Amino acid sequence: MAEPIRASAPRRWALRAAYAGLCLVLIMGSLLPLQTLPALWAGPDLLLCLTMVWSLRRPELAPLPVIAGIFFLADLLQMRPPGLMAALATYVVHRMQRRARQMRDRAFMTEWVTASLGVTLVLLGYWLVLGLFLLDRPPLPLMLSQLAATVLVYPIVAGLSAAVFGLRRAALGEVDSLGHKL
Amino acid sequence: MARDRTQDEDYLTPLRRLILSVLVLVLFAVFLVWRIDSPRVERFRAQVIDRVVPQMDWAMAPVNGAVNMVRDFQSYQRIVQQNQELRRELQQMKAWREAALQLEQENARLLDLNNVQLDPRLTYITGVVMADAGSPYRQSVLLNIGARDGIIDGWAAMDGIGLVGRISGVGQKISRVILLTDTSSRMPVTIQPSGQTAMVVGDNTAAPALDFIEDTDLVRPGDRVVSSGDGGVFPAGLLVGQVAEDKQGRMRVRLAADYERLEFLRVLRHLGTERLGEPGGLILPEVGPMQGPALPPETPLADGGADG
Repeated sequence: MAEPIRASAPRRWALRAAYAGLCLVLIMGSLLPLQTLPALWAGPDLLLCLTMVWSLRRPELAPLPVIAGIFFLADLLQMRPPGLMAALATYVVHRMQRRARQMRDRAFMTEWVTASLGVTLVLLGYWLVLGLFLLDRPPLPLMLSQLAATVLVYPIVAGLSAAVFGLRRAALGEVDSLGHKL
Repeated sequence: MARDRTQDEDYLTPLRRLILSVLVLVLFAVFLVWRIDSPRVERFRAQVIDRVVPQMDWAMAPVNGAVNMVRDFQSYQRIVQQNQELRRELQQMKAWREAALQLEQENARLLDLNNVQLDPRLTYITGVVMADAGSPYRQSVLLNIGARDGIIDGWAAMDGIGLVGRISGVGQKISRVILLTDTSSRMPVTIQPSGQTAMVVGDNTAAPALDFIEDTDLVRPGDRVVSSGDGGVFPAGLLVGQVAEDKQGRMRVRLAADYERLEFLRVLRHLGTERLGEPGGLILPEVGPMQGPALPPETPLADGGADG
């Protein structure tokens, strides 16, 4: 898919669908019964990472209701308290999307740090709220390892999104095919 | 930085904010409802899983098969070495088999001598593992059998050897097994030679901890751990594993079931242990037939008024 920045409306919808489909695939992949032994280190939360990439780079392609729905589905399927992670992720992603405009002329490092901050907010917030409501929390080392893994995998996910879906940050003053400012 | 706010954005921002607050409020409300009235929301969750996961099965089965094939292929690389190991083990097993057969015969003889009644109702249904919990924090698997196969919440699930967990959450076509390694899993057990009772407390490690042991001195690494049947949820006497001691000196259970590759699980039909509801009442002699002269016929109340 070339030049999605100048995307016309159908292409934008296709990209939105691609985002939702990708999320569903990630949820499905996580459900595969390959690892039934408890692990010492948790892998990255790819769903959160992907959502961060898309909402920092092209917020209009990852609409909030879709994000909320996908995270709620993940909550239900992955046996988390339903709604908590989804609410946190939706709120934090909204904050990230508001920063997307400022991100345009910054270095990648800034984007990475911002995304890391967002991931930290979601995961730590989740952990803290679980404690606040007297629910049993995952062990802290496991959570921190997932946080670290998610932060580390961000550049890879960002790179892949750019390569496959042409998902780069819009340049200043760029317009879409109808001449609207992005 | 000069921000060029387009007019669009000025329109859209309050709308976005409204959508955001509605979404976050609704999601958080669901969480609160779940915290207050968990069974209802869990039933909803079971319905969603029941609807969604069988749909994913066609896509998941090939991926799953491919990954397992790769794993099997990796094991081909060590096939010679494995073969030798297996031969050696087979030799040992043959000796054990003889011993087991003799013991089985002896056991049958002794049971016969004592006229012991074994529980005949412990039958099982076997299911295939479809999916796992999908997150590193929870340890559970989904089976492809559910309410329509007669599965009931709380039944025990085993692989061929040992206890794996218990059913928690049943959909129409699907049921969830909480593994013994999950942080929310608690299991009353008996430690075999000493007869000590304890709890197996899952803590998201491969070997769950043993807690509430009455007398730790009587428990040694290597002792057999079987379910005790206390609480009436599990049948008694199912093998759980062996006692092991970790580096901190804490007692743990090395599970007998093969958790590395859970493929088929058998769910034990357990119709509940019968319970003695009340202490024995007084045993009275049966009331005999009435003796002596017959009672005078009931006199109407109006006549009896003269007595006073």
